[in-house]
Amino acid sequence: MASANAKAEPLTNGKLKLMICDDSNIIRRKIERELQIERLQVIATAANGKQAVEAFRKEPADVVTMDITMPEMDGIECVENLVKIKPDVLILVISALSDKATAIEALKKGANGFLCKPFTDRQLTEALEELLRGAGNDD
Amino acid sequence: MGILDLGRYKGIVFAITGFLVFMAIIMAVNHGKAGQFSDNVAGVRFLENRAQQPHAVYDAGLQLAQRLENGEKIDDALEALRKATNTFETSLSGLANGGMISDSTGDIVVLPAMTTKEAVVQLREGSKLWDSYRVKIDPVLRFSGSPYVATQPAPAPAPAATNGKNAAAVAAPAPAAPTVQLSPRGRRLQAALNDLNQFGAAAHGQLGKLLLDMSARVEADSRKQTDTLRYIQIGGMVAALLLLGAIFLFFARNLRKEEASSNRQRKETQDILRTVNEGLFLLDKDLKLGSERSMALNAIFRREDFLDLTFDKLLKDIVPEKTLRTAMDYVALLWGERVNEKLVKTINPLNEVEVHFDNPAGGFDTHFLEFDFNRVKSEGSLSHLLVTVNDVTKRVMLSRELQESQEKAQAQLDLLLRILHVEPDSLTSFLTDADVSLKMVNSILKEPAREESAFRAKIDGIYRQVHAVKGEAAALGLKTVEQRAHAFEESLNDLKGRPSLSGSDFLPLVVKLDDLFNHLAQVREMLSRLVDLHHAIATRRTAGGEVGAEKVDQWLAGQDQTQITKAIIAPPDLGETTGAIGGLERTLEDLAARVASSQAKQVNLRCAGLDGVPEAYRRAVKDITIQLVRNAVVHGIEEPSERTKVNKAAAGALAVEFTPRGTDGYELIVQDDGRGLQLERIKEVAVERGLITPAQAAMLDPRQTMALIFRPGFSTADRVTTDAGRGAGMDLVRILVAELGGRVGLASAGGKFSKFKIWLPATQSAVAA
Repeated sequence: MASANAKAEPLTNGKLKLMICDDSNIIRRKIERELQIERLQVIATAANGKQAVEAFRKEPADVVTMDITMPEMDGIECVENLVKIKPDVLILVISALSDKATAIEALKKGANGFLCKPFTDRQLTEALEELLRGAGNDD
Repeated sequence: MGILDLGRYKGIVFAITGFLVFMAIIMAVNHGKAGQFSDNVAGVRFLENRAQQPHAVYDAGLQLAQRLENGEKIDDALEALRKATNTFETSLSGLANGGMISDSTGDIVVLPAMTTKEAVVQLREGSKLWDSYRVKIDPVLRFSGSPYVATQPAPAPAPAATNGKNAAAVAAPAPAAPTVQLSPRGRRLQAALNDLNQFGAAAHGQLGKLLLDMSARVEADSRKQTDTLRYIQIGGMVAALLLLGAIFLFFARNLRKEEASSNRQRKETQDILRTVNEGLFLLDKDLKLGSERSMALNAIFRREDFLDLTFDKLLKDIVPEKTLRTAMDYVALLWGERVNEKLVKTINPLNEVEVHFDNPAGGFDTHFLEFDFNRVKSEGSLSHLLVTVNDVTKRVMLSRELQESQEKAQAQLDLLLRILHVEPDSLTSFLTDADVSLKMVNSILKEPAREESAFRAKIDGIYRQVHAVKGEAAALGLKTVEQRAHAFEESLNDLKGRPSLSGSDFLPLVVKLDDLFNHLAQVREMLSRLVDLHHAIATRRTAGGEVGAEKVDQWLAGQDQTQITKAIIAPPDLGETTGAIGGLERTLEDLAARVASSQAKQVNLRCAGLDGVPEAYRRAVKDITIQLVRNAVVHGIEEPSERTKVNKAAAGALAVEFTPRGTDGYELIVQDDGRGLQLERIKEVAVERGLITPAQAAMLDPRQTMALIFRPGFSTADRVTTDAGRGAGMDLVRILVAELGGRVGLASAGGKFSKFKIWLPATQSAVAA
């Protein structure tokens, strides 16, 4: 099962650190496998909000993909915690679009974007690229 | 904007600067010329003044000669000559070279150099003349000491007046004393003086005239310069006016051009906003609508007044409150800096929002609106949100229709596939029975009724028929038919629940009935197409001598009505009666398996003697067994885990037996080894359903309790599903048996079994019934 495997040493290859947070290991593996962005490197995966916050404390990621419905601590609370630890973290909420209000709640807590499940690898890549672009220049 | 970034004012600033520079140049030239003018005036005065100087030199010479003759002291007269000579010489060289000289009063005068040709010639002549004059003066001026013989008495004091001009007149010649004795040097001085005065008599007039001429020339020059100055001033003024006019014209034209272009732009914007189909407006940070907006908004929101309107007020009356709240949250997110605009479009709650407008004719109109929000940035910061609104009602409706038709097509495909799996004889038998049932429903609907009880009886009658159709359809897995029958049942339930009924309440049922009829016609149509298909395949196969497609053959064997097919493929020899019952056995097996799997149960069904059901009871037996088998699986047989706990086989045993009893008629037994009838639960439900009171429930014995399940409206399943739970099932069994003149017996042991035993009379009486 999922374990927060955060490494303590920072990345020296200039890549941005990505953390994947989803209670489904299928989704976690899917994101990891389909990640086609050179600038990102997965440094941690977490199966719930609590694990994510612990891993993030050890080594804060630059970019996080975040599920909403998770055991222990849900995505909304987790987003709030991560932003408190590192205000400039970029968070992409990835969730099924059953209730828009819930997604908006996560964004109110500080997430930057939303990707609807199910998603294709292309949609994932585009969303992450847009997330990074949006952070680069405010346009 | 930088301090030098003048933007559109650049032109005017340059023009004004140019004008000022021009004016400065004109004034500088003017000033220069004016300075020269005053020099000229000074020059004229100076020259007029100096015109007297040659005369002064000449006078000084005369006076000196006079003094000498009178034997008077000559020193001061000599000095006067020297002074007059020097003064004139300074003036003359000043005139030749220009420059500053001080005049007789001590003022410094800047003399214009005499550079014109005539002036140079005149000056040269004057100089020459003066040089000659000077030659005569110099020996006189070189004299020093006394010109008289030393024994001579002291000379009389010189007269006070030394003015050269009057010297000759004023100095009254003293009587020539014979005692005046000139020394040799004095005589030489006298000779030189005579020579000088002789020369001076003509020369001083010439020199004076020369100076006066020059003065006149300078004056003329001066006048010319004054004229030039005036021309320059006039020219400058005219040029300035022209320049000013040009600047004015240029700017007036530009201004007009700019105004025209901005008017054009404004008009274009207005044209766009008037014509565009989208509703467009800007939202500011206070969520107030901007003043510029597209006309389409009026039609989209059915209002004219948008003045001072806020976004939430715009939406308040047309969307549910929850949607409004979510929408306002979403818009607030866009105003924040964190959210990436492009990555939140999918959660825009107003992406395809259903809105309701009050209809003046009553009720409301439903529309679907699509809102899109885009951030507008000016000078790097977020200034507005551009909101685009579209009425997408048509699109939404179309897509819904499309979806419906897709679902319908899918349902037809499912139906077709299902038909392929159903035993042909079961299917034809079902279609025939359903047709009979529905015709019966139709005739019940047509029956005249006035009283409430008659209406209720009608409902019950229809209910039984429809329920039977539903049960059979479910048994065959014809989901589309089952769903329609279920919907029909729902409508009937709705009617049942009403406190009072009228004839018009039955009208919607006609529509439902029609729907069912049509659908069954579709099934029939599909079936006949399959027959045609089979026919075509079979014909081709015969021609080609191929063997195969047994499945199609098998499937069609029982019901194919066409002679050709029959001739080609001999159908299995199934009698009219047994054929249908053979179908019933399979129908029941299918039903038991299907219901069991939907309930996560296991069941083994054993059928016996169904081949022997006489034609007259075929239909009833089918309806009854379907109902009892379904009930047994849903209510009787326990889940595998529960069964193993009480040492039963995981799969429940279910038996259906039909046994002829000779003259005693027939016996139908349906028995399962499930949990048996739960008497307490039956009582509770009966009380809940209002069939009996709690007090009555307490008094019932087991037999009476079991009888409750045959009461109309009883059901022990908590949820109404298409499998069971309507409560009409056992009621239907009771009525069917009663209609045939039979009896129902029921035996049950808690946790062990339930056994339904149905007796039907011998066939004649059944037919008679």
